Amino acid sequence: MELAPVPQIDTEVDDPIDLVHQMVRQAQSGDADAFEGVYRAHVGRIHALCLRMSGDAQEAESLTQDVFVRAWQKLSSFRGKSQFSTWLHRLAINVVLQDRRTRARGQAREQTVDNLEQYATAVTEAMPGTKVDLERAIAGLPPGAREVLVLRDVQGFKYSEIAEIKNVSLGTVKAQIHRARHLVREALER
Amino acid sequence: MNKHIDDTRLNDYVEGLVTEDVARQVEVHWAVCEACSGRLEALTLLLSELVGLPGDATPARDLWSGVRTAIEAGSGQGEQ
Repeated sequence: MELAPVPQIDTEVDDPIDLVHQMVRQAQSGDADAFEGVYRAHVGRIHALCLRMSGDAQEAESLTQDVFVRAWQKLSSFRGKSQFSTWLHRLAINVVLQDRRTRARGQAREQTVDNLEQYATAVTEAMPGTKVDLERAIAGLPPGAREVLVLRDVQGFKYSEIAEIKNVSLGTVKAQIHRARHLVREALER
Repeated sequence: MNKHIDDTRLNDYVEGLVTEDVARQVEVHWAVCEACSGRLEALTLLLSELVGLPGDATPARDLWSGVRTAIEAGSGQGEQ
């Protein structure tokens, strides 16, 4: 297999955030090699988000790829007003939610016991040391409840931000999160 | 307050979304209600475990080649 060329980055830059911003600027001018550096710096966090929000390892790989393809397509809209990681995170959430909306119109994936066991195995490999029972319980939630729980309790978004992202009322978000926590506690007690 | 704490109030308390008066009332109840104090303990533990989950995951395969293929196949920048 041919190795990808190493992106030409200014080695004088010590700060990892500055380094990423430099790679982003180069990628914005069409440098795909620099974009590989951006990908390598962020793929772990984006994949963790996609795993937990989808509850499916294969789907999460496909979503992670889609996030970076969409990021490349939209890179010119990143103006540097926020951290690049924040911009990428919001884009990833939109990709995952859009994918779920598309699926909901077609055939929804059923979360079976076998699926959850496969997911638990994949998550253990992807995130050694994680609490696998908790990960399985999150994956077993209904999609809407899983998404808000991950956004609020794992990612730390505010209720108002989640309401904006999901385009629902604050009350709906709170009710969904309370229900999701209740369901996770029930699953852990089984 | 003799009635059990409902789920909404329990969650609001844990997240600091209740008034001081309400907080005092539920704390008085917890002092005498084993069931509700158990629920509080379980919820607090759950939230601390959720926030402590790892933030990075390694994909089972390298996804970069798929990304590169897609962006070289003409998915140019500036598209929405």
